[in-house]
Amino acid sequence: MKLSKEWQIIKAIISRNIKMFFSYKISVLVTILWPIPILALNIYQYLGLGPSDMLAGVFGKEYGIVSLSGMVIVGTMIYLLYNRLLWGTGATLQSERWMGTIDVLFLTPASRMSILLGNGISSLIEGSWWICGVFILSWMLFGINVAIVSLPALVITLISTMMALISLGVFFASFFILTRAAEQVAISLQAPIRYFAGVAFPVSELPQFLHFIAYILPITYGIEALRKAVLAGATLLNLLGELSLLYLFAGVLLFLGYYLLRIMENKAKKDGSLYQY
Amino acid sequence: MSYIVKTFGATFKYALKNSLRYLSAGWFIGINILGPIFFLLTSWNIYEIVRRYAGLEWKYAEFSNYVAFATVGFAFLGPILSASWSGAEGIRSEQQDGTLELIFITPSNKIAWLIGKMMAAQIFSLISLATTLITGSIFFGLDLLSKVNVPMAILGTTLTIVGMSSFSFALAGLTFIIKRTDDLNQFLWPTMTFLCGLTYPVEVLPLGAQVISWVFPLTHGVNITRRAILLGSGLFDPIIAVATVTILVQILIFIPIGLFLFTKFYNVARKTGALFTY
Repeated sequence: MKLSKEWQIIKAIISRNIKMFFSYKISVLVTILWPIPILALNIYQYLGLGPSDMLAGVFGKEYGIVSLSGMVIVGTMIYLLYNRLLWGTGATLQSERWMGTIDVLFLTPASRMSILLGNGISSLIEGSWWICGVFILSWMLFGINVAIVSLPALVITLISTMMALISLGVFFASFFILTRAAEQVAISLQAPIRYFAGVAFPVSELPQFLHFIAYILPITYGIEALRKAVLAGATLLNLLGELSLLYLFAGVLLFLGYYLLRIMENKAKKDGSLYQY
Repeated sequence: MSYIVKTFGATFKYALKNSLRYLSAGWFIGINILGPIFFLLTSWNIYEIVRRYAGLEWKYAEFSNYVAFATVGFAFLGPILSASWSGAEGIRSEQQDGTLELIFITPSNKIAWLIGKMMAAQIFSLISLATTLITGSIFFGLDLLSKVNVPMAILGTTLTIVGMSSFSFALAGLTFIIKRTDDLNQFLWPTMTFLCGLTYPVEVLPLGAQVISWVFPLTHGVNITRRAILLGSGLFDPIIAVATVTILVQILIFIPIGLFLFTKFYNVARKTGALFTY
């Protein structure tokens, strides 16, 4: 494997995706606007039940979190990142199928992993635009009291979460080769994952028998780690547990994704179903 | 007239089959239908946190069971999604399949064609609505047996879907011009969910947001259906009567506007040659 060749593939994919993203001007604007009502919905769900001061007190006392709106915003942002990366990495093969380019792409000697990683990285570039946009907008609208003690802890947590989520997208990509319903799958998984990962409330408040589902999702650890880093003044040392698990997920999912992708691609080629949709 | 009905029927069947072909991934469709239940569970968790740690019991007007209140609201998630999105999605999918131009060359009635697509999408959303209500009834104390005013609940739901369809017509027309209305819809449905009092009374919102919420037929439709289901109220309930009149007036105003915009954008796309491009 020549690294310079792989980088060329990754660069080409990133360049194509960024051009496509900016060719739909409305998308660029809407991506930072549409999460706002979802955030507002969750925040007002709390405010509809009790006064904000009292609720803030509860979250400070019970979970060590300095901001109710901050808890919802951090959870939602990581969830949106997961969504973006699942669509941008895993479901990207379905887009190639729609565009009629999947068989041409798979005829080239380009590494499939480089194609997927290129898609993942371009999603991150798009994602960084709206993560900053959404964060600034929601800060202005809802106000967030942050308690960041260690900036390196925050940056490393964000990078680790992104790596784990790209790996999850790569893992799912192999299934999207076989199914014609990648869009359905991705949409269907949104609501359950949003619930089990504890986007709108601390995951410890899930019923006990559902904890095992929450803790097999890398997004859960990403949300927990980022909440601690942004809202509970955690340092790198405090986050070691979550970060180690995120890297473990990243490694395992990339490894499985790589082999599954080869198996599924061969199966689709043998069935002659690669192109069909 | 029979030609219009045939166009509607054919499109309805086509759109339904198109959805059903994903039955090979049947359990995913199941999760889709169950989607609102996860929103409901989120509400339950949030309520439990507030109740347990802040010691607050929820009460609003005649309603005292928060999760039952939210259940009726979340039951509407499927219909709102379909009502606001299905028209645009119908146009967009034909654009992507490269068949839009062919369909629009035929002398078929385009409105009947669009309604056929929208109605097929509503089938799944109505199943989702029923599933959410039944779940609320089994797990969260929503009483569906003793009090419910069924005809009023059906009327409330129907009026909501019809009222919201005006947005679907407008968005479908807009898809001819700006293509990516899926992004716009991503913004529209959470906005409606936030504004229209699905999980909390509209009065909780800031005044400006309350005023905007009254523009959406959904606010009044949820109000009607919620009172019919939770309190068993009918048309003689003044709140329901006002909401019904409001939503009827909105339908009379919004549907022609929606149809006008659809036709307008369609004609613009034809003139600028943008019908086929995506």
